[in-house]
Amino acid sequence: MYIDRNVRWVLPLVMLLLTSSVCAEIEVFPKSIDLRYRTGKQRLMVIHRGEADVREVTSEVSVQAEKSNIVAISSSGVVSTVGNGSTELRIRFAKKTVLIPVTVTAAGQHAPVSFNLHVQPILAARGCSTGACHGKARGQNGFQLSLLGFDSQFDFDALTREARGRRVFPASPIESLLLRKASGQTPHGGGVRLPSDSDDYATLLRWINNGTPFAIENEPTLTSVEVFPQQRSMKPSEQQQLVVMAEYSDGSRYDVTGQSAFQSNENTIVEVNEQGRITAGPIPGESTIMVRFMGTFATCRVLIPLLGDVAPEYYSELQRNNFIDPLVYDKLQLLGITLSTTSADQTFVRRVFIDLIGRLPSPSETEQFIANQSESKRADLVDWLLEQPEYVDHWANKWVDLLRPNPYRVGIKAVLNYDNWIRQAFRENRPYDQFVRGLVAAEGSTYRNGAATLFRDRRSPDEIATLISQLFLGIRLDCAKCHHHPFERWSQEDFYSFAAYFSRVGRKGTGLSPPISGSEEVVLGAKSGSVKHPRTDEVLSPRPLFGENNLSAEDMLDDYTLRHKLVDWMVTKDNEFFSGVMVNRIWADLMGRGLFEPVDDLRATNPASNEPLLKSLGKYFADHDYDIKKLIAAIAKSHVYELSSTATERNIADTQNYSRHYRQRLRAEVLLDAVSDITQIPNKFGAMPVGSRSNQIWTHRVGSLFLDTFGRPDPNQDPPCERTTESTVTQALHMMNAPQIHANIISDNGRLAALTARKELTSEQIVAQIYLLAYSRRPTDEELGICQDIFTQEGMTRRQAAETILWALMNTPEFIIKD
Amino acid sequence: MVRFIQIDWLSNRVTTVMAIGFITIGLVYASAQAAAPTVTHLYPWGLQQGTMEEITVKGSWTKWPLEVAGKFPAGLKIQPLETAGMLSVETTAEVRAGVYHFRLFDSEGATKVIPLIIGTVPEVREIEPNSKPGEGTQVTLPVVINGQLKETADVDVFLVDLAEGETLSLLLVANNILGVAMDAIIQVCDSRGFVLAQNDDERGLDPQLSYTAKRAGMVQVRIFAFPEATNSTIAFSSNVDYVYRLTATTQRLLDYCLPLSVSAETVDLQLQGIGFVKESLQWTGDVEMPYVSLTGVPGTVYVPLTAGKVVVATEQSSIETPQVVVLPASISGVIEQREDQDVFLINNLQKDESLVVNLFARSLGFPTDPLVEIYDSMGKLLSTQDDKDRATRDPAFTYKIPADGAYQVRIRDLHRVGGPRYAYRMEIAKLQPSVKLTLASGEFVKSGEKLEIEVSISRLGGFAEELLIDIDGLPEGVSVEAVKSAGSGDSSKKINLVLTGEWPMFSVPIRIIGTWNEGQLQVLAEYVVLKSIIARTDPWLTSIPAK
Repeated sequence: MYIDRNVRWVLPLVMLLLTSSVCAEIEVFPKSIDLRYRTGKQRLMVIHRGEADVREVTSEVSVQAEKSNIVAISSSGVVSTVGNGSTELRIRFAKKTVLIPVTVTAAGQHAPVSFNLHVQPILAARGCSTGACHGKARGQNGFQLSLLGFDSQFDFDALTREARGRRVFPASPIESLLLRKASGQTPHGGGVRLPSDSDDYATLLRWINNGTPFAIENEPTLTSVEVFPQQRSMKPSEQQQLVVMAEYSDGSRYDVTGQSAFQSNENTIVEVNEQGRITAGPIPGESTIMVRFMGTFATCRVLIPLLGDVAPEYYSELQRNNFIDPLVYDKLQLLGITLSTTSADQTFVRRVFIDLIGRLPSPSETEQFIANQSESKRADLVDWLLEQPEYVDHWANKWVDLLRPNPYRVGIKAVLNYDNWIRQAFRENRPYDQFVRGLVAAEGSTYRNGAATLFRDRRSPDEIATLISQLFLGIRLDCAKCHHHPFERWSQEDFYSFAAYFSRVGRKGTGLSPPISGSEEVVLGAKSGSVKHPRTDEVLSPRPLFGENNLSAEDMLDDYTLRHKLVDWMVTKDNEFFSGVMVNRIWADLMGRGLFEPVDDLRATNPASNEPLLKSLGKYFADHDYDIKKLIAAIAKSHVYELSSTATERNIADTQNYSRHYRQRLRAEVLLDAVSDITQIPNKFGAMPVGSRSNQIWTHRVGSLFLDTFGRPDPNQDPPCERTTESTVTQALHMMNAPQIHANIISDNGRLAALTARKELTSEQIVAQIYLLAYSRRPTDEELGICQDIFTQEGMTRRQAAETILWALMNTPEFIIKD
Repeated sequence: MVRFIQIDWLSNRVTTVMAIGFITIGLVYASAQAAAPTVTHLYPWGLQQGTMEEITVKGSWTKWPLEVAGKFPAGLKIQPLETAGMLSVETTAEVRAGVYHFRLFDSEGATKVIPLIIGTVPEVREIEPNSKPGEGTQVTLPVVINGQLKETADVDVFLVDLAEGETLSLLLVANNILGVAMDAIIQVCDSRGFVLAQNDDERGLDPQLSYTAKRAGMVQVRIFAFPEATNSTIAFSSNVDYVYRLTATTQRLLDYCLPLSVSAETVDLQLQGIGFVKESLQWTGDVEMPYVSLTGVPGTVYVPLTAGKVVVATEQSSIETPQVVVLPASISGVIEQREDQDVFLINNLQKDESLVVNLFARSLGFPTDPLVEIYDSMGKLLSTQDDKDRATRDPAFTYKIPADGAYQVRIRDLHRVGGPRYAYRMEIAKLQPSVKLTLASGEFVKSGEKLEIEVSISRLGGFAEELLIDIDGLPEGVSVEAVKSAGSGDSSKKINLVLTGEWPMFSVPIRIIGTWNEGQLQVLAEYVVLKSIIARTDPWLTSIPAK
């Protein structure tokens, strides 16, 4: 069902590193060359594997053909047709020689040109059909192409039939607007895209000369695209040319590097230009270059290790708490990155409380943990925290962002029940597959089964399909609603076939009538319903996005069966999309960054920073029956989780390989509850019982300036809502100036009033308590001295001094940031 | 004193009315601007058997005391106290637990029917303030807590001490039976306020839940509400009329019994609910107060009388081995688990006969969303029936038999879910000629020259008899001309009774009677008590002077 992406890049990378240190050799791509027609061309690629390094040497090698009348070779390594026959290329570098057989056929003929095979790739590669140009919804200056050429017939008609046929002019091809504009002979807002001396210009000219055929006789179809190299380990500033080969259904292969588009997913680490030449940046790390040719993709992974050596023993001797640690270390070893130290107890206890149950530890909880001498105290604390009631609301609060709609749209009662349904799942520690089944196959009244609200909010099959695929598979299908997905393999047919699983979702009762929408609606199986392809109008049968989901004709008529069978397919244990996106969400929550980002965008062109780790986490999750608590425990008990955030010289630039802990600003609810807990002034929210914690609020419509300031989703925004963890000036100003925070601190009913009223406490003890409350640690001697000075200031009461100190601590990064 | 009993096996409603004769009105007419009394709530809205309560009446009236009208057993006394708005209610331990109805009236009119619940366990009233952490009062179980959400955004909190593994069952009555316009929510929280269980709508808009304690300790029970009529205000709703009764127990809770209806032949009722395992009770109820309860066990169950054969669905009932039933039948069953269904076989049906089928599930407070399917003997699906109409989630339909033979009737939950509370009752019979008279209201007030009372006539099974519709119980000086309802035409569906005469001041119960076959047969006009399926035949007629 799923391609093993680990093997795809890790083993070759390891082999690459190993072989480079053993012997020197040169590797040439392709291994043989078969050119056809007068315009046949093939770019050569030569890599030298030296004892010290691996680098591209194409421009440095000596290339000679055994027979000079068969092919010509340019200085940049492009082999082109001269005459029919066979010969060998002799490629020499550093006293090594490699022979490459070459065959040329039909050298005297021009290649037949097809719109579909040849013109479309040029329009896509030159940017004509991109979203910024003629590929946007309304086209550009009256000329519209389908986005990236997903609809060839539409584009063919646009070129050959619209604008009174002026775009292509077979009677005088060079007068065709297509050529004149693209080559800049006629003013063109998009500039010169096809110089008149370019191969692509010549191809288009021949196409027009040949009568603008849509297809040629027995036209083959594109079957795959391959890029070379598929992975490289590079030094900073080093360059590497990519070569892209397209293979067709008749077995033919062509160099399509010039008609391909390239994109790096981490431009700061590796850049790539339009010609497919990549340049390593100065920062160690990893990037994936996406290569796109006519809706088909290939990737090249580039690793930039940190300069300098780290002894292999360093990695083998690192602490290993569970299966997670060695997988992280393997990646770090490839990059030459070292670990930060283990975090201090006071750092760990604050971190794990915040991460697992969304609150700060109390002073006594902190001190008990620090005093505990047990070797397993960190793991024991993780287990204890996962059984605390705070766990429920903290983790449910993350899911409500993704699921819970606006009550003004679907009604208060529907949202209230949906919210409780989500929380109940966490109260029961409901296995994740059952959680998803409860949602995807939800039926019943929105008054009784909160999960049914999903289908009150999302009403059409296409709306439902995009949500389900993104949330539970990490597959973003929105693009495929209107056109072939630009970064993935999903076509419109894939999308609407998937949406057809929801074609028979029916409803009875009262539908939406914002802004109240308070009535009851019942989700049920409809007696009829279908999904059609928007372009072909064909009724599509339900089909999963990949793999098999055997459905009988009878199954397809029954909503209950359809949706349950869809879930059966989704939750299959070897469906790594299903487990992958959930483990990535939890990994991101605990580790500060997802293995892939955005956390719900899992695709070959956005691969995980550590694919073996993602795969192993997913397997662990599935093997443990999708037990969310067990997954959280495994991550929180790993050694990499307990690392300090303080960087070393060899990991300071690492932001995606977990060599240290990545700091995060506290979630809005965690921060507000921390203020309430520390000051002992309960929160007050509308539509909530007094004393409720902010992560228990059942709708984002419950007003809170604090929560809004710190990034709670806009209540008008449709779910799923992912939050940003950015810090803003507004947040800083709010912490400093918010009347409510000030009132909490100085309240006569608050903690500081009670603390400072205890005469037996010294100022030192009061300061220690405040530090434990806010930072989960005691003050340093220097901090203690500064604080005690405040107590002795003229006119300052004990209580005022305590209030001043607490206010100050709350306005420091150490309070707002989870270390 | 004359007593009328009507048994309508199709709707299975047993209606009883006692013509209590004319009640002498000794009140002096106070004001031409006066109006009929109203009651918006009682507080508390019930009491335990064998106890006495002083109950507050909230509403409007011209002068206290009001008169009390209702049929009560010997051990139940309801009397107005001198203090305005106060009633004394006293019951003996022998008074059957259940819902009693009465009216308060004076010379200007009568209130709508007021429910009063007699319970089986001790009752307490909430003690305010009890909305914040630390304010809740501990209650001893089993108990019925009488509470009121009257403060702004009110939340009521009660404390219950639970042992590890102990199950706390909570059942709130407000919107159902009492007709309170609130949509209550129950939460069980730990001592720090973390929600452990929550329910909104188990019985209509009223919540019910059971929570089993994972660890010993005090839990908080929280009650709050939104308005019955939905709006867009993100806030808890409160109102002086938001009065509720919360039953709480860690022992047994009687939820319902099987069968859900009784006939003259019924002997044993299987008790269902929390803590009941194969326990039965001999039916001894009377048809006027058809409730079942156990002393000291919370929960009373309404078990109406039916004319058909009473049947309980067996666990073995399946497509391969359907349960044979003989019509007419009142079938009770439970969809016990996911994808479960009950299958019944009806033999020897004749072509062109019609079946009349009425399902009761939501209307009885069960979560079941029943779906009825009719199959022929070859297993071909002939008919699928869901909701009766947009407002009625229970099916009610007639089905014409297409050919002689045997037919399967299958019942399942629409969403293929099940559970111990997924019960239903199906009344099924061959369509016979019958008639039903319906009133839109149970109260009529005359303040002008004349009064018109509209009576709707529902004729089933080709009932084409000419009816003569008249009123019984009018005081002297007032007359009505009996109206004929023909077998067809406009008058077959609706008629208006016009009351004329001297119109002295009075306020009395009346009966509206339809007779046919030269007075040999009769039917009483019904109205439905608010928030219930209980039909009554004792509308109240009041006359006040014209303004």
